[in-house]
Amino acid sequence: MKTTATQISRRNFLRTMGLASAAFTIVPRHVLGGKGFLAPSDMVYVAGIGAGGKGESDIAMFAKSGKAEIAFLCDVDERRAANTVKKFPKAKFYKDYRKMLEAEHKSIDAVSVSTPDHQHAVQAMAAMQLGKHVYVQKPLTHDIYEARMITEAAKKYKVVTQMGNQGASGDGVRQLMEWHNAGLLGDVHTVYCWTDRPVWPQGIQWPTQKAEIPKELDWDLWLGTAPQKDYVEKLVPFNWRGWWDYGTGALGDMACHIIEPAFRVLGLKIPVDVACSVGSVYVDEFKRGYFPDSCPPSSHVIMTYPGKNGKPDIKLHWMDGGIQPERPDELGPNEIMGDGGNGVIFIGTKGKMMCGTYALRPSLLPTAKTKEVTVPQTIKRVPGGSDGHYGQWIEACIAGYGNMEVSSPFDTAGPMTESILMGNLAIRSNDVRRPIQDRPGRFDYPGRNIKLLWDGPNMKITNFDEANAFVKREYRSGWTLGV
Amino acid sequence: MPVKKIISPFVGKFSRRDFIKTAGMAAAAFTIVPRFVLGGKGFVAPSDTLYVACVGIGGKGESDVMGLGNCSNVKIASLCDVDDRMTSKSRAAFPSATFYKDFRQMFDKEKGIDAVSVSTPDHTHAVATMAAITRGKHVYVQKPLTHSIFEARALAEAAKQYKVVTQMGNQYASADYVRITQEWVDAGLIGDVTRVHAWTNRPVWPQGIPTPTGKFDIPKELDWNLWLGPAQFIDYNPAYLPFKWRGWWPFGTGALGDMGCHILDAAFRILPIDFPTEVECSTTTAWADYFKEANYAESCPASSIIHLKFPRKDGKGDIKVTWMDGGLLPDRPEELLPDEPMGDSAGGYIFEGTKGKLIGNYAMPPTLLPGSRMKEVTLPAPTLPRVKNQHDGHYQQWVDACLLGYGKSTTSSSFDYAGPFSEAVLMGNLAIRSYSMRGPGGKGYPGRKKLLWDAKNMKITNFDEANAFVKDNYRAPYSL
Repeated sequence: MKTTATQISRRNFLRTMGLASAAFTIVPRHVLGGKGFLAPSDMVYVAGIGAGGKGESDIAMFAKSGKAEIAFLCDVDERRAANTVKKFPKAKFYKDYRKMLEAEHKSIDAVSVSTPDHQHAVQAMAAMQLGKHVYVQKPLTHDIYEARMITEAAKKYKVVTQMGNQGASGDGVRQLMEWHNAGLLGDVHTVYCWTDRPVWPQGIQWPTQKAEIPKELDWDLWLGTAPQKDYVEKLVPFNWRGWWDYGTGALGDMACHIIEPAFRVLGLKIPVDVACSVGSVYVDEFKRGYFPDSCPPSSHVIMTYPGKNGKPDIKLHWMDGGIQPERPDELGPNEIMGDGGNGVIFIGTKGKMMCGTYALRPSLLPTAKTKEVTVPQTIKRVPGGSDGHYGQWIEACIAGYGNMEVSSPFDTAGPMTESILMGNLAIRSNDVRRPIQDRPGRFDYPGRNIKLLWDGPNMKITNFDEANAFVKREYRSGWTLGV
Repeated sequence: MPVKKIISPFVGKFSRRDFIKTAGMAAAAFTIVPRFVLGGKGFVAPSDTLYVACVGIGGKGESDVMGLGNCSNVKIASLCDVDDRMTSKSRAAFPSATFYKDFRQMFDKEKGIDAVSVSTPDHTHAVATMAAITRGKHVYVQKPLTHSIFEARALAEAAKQYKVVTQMGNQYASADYVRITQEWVDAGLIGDVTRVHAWTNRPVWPQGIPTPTGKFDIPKELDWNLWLGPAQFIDYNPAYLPFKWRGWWPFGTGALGDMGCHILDAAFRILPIDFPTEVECSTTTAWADYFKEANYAESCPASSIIHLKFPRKDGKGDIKVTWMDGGLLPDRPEELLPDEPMGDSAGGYIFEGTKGKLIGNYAMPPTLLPGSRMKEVTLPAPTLPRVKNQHDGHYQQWVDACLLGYGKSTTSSSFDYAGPFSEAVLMGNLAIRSYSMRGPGGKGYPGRKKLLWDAKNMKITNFDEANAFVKDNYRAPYSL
């Protein structure tokens, strides 16, 4: 079901004409709202897709803003949704977001998507095509292609968007920007980002033991766009993160929080190349495990961003699974690097700076410099900082498309997500293998130890075609992104 | 056994003995009169044959036995292994050699031994080698020289004190590649080197795994107690041997121990560095379950990154050496084409200098970066002496040096070089083990910092717990 922007305005108009009886007493803002129209209720009617886990906390935060009415809830797993359903008894509950949108779209202003990564794109796209503002958990999507499409759709449908990397609304990244903009670092040429994630096993075999599907879970809906597979234990509700069919590994989990400062401070967009190596897994002497479904236990990804206006290229290093970059000489031997497990280090021609996840604990290096240097505050802080990320989006939904800035709209979150997923593309290229002729059971791995060249506008790796399989996945039959 | 003339660049002038050999020593191989019995300075030995005892004769030990046995002027006199399952080939190749399970008994009984090869698991290198050195035997010891830093220091000192000829078994130290690299660096083709990146594909066996459990019968051919040697007693488990001991801290030295002495040889040989002042590391975390970090304290990590800082001996600043293993790779140099292989399948090294870069590995020819520079610059003519038969000549070089006597010639990896080199390699392991250490009550990781090393006193100065890894606690009655 496609809906164009003009259809939306016409529909809005019709609604304005008299839909008083819509959905109990729920009168969504957009029914009466719009530019210059004084709404009887300054509430944004939010539908939450994914109501357990991170979804639960997202929904709670919207409600906490005081300007969001949690109007509908949707989750494929009733067990996970239970807390939220209890907390918002007036919200009608659905298992299938498609049914919810179809039945209730007239009573929805905005949609929050907080589901496993493989469902983000189809859900966000369906909402946007109905003219709904969207808040989507990080990473924005599962594939590079999806990120590109979602970003374009946000523009096309003129909806207010926010990715759920709440650190983007924090004070820390703004402090880093001010230091950088004041020239304290000179030209930044290298950035190191790292995380201690995954904090779960990766580089493992897909469980072979079949298990019974819990009655509260609609496994088929959970699978959604992903390939048909038997239900297994320990995949739902959290561990899908470590499997490529659903999740995006450590990068997908944490990079939107950790790479974000580099993107915002340096204005990074699309890389021109990517190289990576991964921690190997050996299952026996001289026998390397081959687990192409499972994200790796650790990875080191390096991407190059072309320098702008004669500035040097910027190399961005990503390390996960416990491995960390070299401690800068300016950091004392006993000082904490980043926040310990995670962090960002910016290296410029004149100086260095560092922070932790969400750009917390920003500091200049050596750290003593942080207190010595005063740079005027030029960048407006988001009220409430990271926690204000949710309310900011709600306010922006109220203000209407184009009227208020948000911290992580898709036009910046999209390219950043693409970059992050480029890392995954490189990682997965490591597992591409070709049989060696006349040596049964032996393979070449042509995607290892090379640098992949990325044609950003055309979304294509130009020197290793097999890698392009990871730009866009095949959806399961019956599912489409609808573009 | 025909007597061959030795043509090694290091042992060119020994005409007197050559003369004697040529004069007629056809029967030498059978009349066992070990050289050192009658030898010594200025004494013409009746036999120019080196009587070698080999400790550890299966696996790598087997290839060492064969390598030494194939040398000119060598008699494999005695063989020793705690595990008779691994010894058949070596014993069959040298049927006249006496066989022992305990190297201590062998040393006590076999007075006719000139030299000893040690090719055992890492944790017994030092005790076996020291026992040989203190008896005046020349020694050839597999890499890494020792299991602990303290042992490496002690062996290097003992070799000097007892004036024995030494060689560590990093055979590519005798290859041409490292000499070519040295000639290029010495010729200033890449300026002053400021940074080295080195990496390996090892471990190619499981690491970051739980300590094995279960009760197993000790195979009758194996003397488990002797295999443990100076290590603390634990029950026999087939998960430890053969070969697999590499990945367990009580016995092995992980990927670094396995490959560091090959891949970092160029850096240590060529650059003006010896002892590091700083070391830090990180490793791939092992997860036992979701949100449940494993604590596999005995298993070396699945992969690691180590950073060492060395002050240049010429006072021109520092050289940083970065090591990566377990599949991790350093940043590809800009000068390398996107599809150009970086290093070889075992790993590689990159030297970054003030005027350029080069890439190589121990068994791979060096290349200036970008590769096109190879045609643009005039490569220096060979000036450093080459070792005959390169890495294959590593054994013969040692044999020749033993026959010449201490101080008469040099070997490629004598302990005055290999000792500090192994110490630096083992510093990486000290850092890894400190990094993995849990804080009080199993909480936190107090060792996750940059460790400062006082090399002279063999002491980490800013995290005392790390000093537990400088020296192993030996089990009685073992001692150095």
